[in-house]
Amino acid sequence: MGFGLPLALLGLVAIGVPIAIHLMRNRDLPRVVLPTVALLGRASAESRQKLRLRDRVLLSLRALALLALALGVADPYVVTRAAFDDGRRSSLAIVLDDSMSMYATDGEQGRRIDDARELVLATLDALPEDSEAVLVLAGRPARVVVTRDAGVEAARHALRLLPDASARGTDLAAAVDQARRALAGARFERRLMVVSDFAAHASASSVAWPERGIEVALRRVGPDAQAEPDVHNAAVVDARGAIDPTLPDQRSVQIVAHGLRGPTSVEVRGPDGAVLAEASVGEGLATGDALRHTLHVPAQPTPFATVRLAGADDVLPLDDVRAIMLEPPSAIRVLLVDGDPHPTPTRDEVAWFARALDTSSAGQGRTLRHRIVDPDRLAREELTEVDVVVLANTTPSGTVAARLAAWVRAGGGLLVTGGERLEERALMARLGELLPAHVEASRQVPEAEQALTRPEGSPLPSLEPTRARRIHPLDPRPGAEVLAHAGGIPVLVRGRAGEGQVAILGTTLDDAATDLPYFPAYVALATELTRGLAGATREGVRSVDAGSPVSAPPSAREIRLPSDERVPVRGATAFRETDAPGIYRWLDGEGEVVGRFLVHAPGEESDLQPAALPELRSEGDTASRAGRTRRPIGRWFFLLAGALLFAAGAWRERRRPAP
Amino acid sequence: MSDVPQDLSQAAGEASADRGPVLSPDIAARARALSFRAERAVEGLLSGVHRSPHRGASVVFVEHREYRPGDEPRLLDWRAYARADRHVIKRFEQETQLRAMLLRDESGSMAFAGCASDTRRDDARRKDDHAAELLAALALVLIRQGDAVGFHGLTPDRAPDAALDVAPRSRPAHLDVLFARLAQRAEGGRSLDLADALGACVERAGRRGLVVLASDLLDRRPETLAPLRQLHARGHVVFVLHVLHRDELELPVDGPARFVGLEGEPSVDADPDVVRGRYQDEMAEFLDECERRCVSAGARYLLAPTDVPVERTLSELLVSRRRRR
Repeated sequence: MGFGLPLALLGLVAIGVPIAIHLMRNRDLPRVVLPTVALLGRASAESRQKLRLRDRVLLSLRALALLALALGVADPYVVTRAAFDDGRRSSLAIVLDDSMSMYATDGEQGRRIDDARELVLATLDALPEDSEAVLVLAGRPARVVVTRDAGVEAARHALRLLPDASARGTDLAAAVDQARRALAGARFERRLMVVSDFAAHASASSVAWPERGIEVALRRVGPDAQAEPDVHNAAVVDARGAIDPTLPDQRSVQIVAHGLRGPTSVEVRGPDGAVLAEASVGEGLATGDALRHTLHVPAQPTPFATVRLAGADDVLPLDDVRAIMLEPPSAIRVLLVDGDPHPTPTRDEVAWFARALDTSSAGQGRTLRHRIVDPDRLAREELTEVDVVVLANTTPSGTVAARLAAWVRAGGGLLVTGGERLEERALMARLGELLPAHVEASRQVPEAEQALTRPEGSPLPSLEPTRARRIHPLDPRPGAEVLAHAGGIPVLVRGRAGEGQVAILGTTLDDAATDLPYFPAYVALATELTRGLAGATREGVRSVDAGSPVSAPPSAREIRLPSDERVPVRGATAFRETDAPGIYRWLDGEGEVVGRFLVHAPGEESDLQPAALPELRSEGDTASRAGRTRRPIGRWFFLLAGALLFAAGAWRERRRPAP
Repeated sequence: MSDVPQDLSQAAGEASADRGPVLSPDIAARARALSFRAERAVEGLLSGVHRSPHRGASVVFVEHREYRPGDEPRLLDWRAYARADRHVIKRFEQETQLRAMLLRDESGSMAFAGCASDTRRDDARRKDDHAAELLAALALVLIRQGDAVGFHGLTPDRAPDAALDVAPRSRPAHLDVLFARLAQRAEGGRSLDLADALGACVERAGRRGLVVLASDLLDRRPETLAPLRQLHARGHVVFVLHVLHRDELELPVDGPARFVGLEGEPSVDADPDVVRGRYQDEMAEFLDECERRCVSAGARYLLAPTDVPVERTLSELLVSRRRRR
């Protein structure tokens, strides 16, 4: 609470007036002669206490009234963080940043996420009945967890379900966009509250804030940028394992850490928790400099480990640990599903494509390593060990198609190619939602229209002078990218599906319907298309950012979290609760590990320095840009003073005898 | 019966150096119509209107008694001698004058004239003045019918063996002396041991007569009124006029105040608005207690508030006695 006119507080000395009057009146009571004073003494012995109480109550009421008056004149105000507590019914969208930086602890104020949760709860409590609330979490990927028609209570419940730890990145822009869209058609006044630490990495200034029709309030938790806080946070921002050619039995672990102050112990632990290597680092390191250190550890049967800053007593322990692969996959793993029922080593369906992949060099990008299986084997393949699947002239079964869809949405890359064994209707029925184009029945292409061309701006190399004699015409979906035409008809279309990518080639991979394999452009097409499809997975699906969904292996029944907690998979095709960083293990029905993946914390989340709040452009915004509202409360003091004076009068009159 | 001065108020006024006339003409005129007859036999030196314990020369026959040598022969009942051949004498009731002793409490509390500072109010009447008027009117009644009236002020500093302030006399001119003494007011601030003062009066009250005490009876000790019992046992007719001010009865003070007594009692801070009811209960209990103690001592009790006219209080006292008789 503060005062607009602090000098008016001098009026507080007026409280002394009734007190002085009370004391003087007690001292200088009118003297009344009464011979029967002894009788009066007996009569008043009982009531003397009541008289004293009455006097004190009167004194207190009057003194409090003067106190309230003096405070009211001093123009008091409260600085409130809860937004939109003006009592108007609202359709309120709340964007809550649940990224990793929000799990930092700011001294005695506790964790930012807890502070934010209380702030949101306070705002929800202040909403009038029948108000609407939308809750959008801004941890990457941004997601709407409570829709407008779910009710305020659902938002409260969702807040209670926030995870205890999360290493998600921040995507304020997407969250604000989702919130704005969620407010479309709102019944009441549309309002948007964003609760975040507004750290520099949140890039709040680049967010497209609503300019019209939506009142915006930004609420910061954690230190203010104007205070220029010195937030100490040590973090392992990067760690990579590599095979050291000079030490065949050793693996080198390159560690990059920030924020170290003085000597710190860094250690590498295996999947079972055993310390594989440790060292004291950071001595002589200047403040602000990054530590780069390499440790050597013995080769492990299971190439997973965690790097930990031991004893780094800072505000965010989540980024003190980073899971790594001691032998990171150096190649893009391509699974070629050969639809030819009678393949020959030199002329089967995928032979050309396999050779094209083999010719790719590491100098031009990640190595492409392929494996060929038949369609029946695909059902038993561990897709988590694959980056790209190529369905060459084959139609997957329904079960396989479901697995493929989940895997693609979790980040996998899929290439579907045509041929006489591709059943268009079955394909569209099973993978239609995944495919970027509608596949039609194959037809012969007129001679004059057989040339394969690429549209302007295509990332692929030139396809001239290749031709296609028979194609499956493709009807691209909105948003899909056409990479090649044949006589003006799309024959190569690529699009996104969840976190993964899918491409369709409307002709064959071999030379059955095209002469494409005869030309060097085929190699470039194969490698670039494959690398593009695998690009969504970065290092492959075995290493994901926190919050990303991961497809479950078919044999998985449980998943063991970094905290060693076991969670049933329950038939889900993708696991989405990847908030905590570390090593996740898929377990089969017998508890055996059937797969692993890593969840990383984005390095930028370790930078906790707050940034200035963005300038909101809308003139209608009444909320404070500084994250705090100064709300005058003087009238309440005047009302209180009036009530107290009235109560004092009533109290006094109540004690008077009737005339 | 002696003559009474026509202008009693003037007589009282001349006699009083401290205040105005003790009796106003109106009161004196109305008191003139009153009379007093002792309920019990009284002893006096002179003949009067009251019954005496002795046998005398009145016409009221009482008894026969055997003649004894020395008896006057004129008292022999010859008719009885003729019938019974015995010498008996007739005895008749003697009528005598009354010897009245008027006592006034002259402690500090009797100087009370009301709680208000405005002494010009109608009810701003001192209790000792009111008591003086009551006693003066009674003295007027008694002297008019030939009774002897004396007065003794119960003052705090009086020696136990001190003589009566005004010895009983029955001459009309004695009223001047009485009124002059009654006009003297009590002094505030002095407390009185009423029991001792009354006890000293017991011996000086003399033969059977009338004792009238005008007091506020604020000395609430149990033994305070014990001397009244002794007076009654000695054959006196005892009246107690309980003189209180209306303010004492009702406490009409408004607002918190510090109440102080007139005899050095500890002060009390109180809000009459709060305690009035309780105080009036205490007062009623006090009045009941006073009446009970007076009656148990054989005295006749009468509350005499200062705002009740003197003649009404007096007539109530005398008329009710007549009814009882």
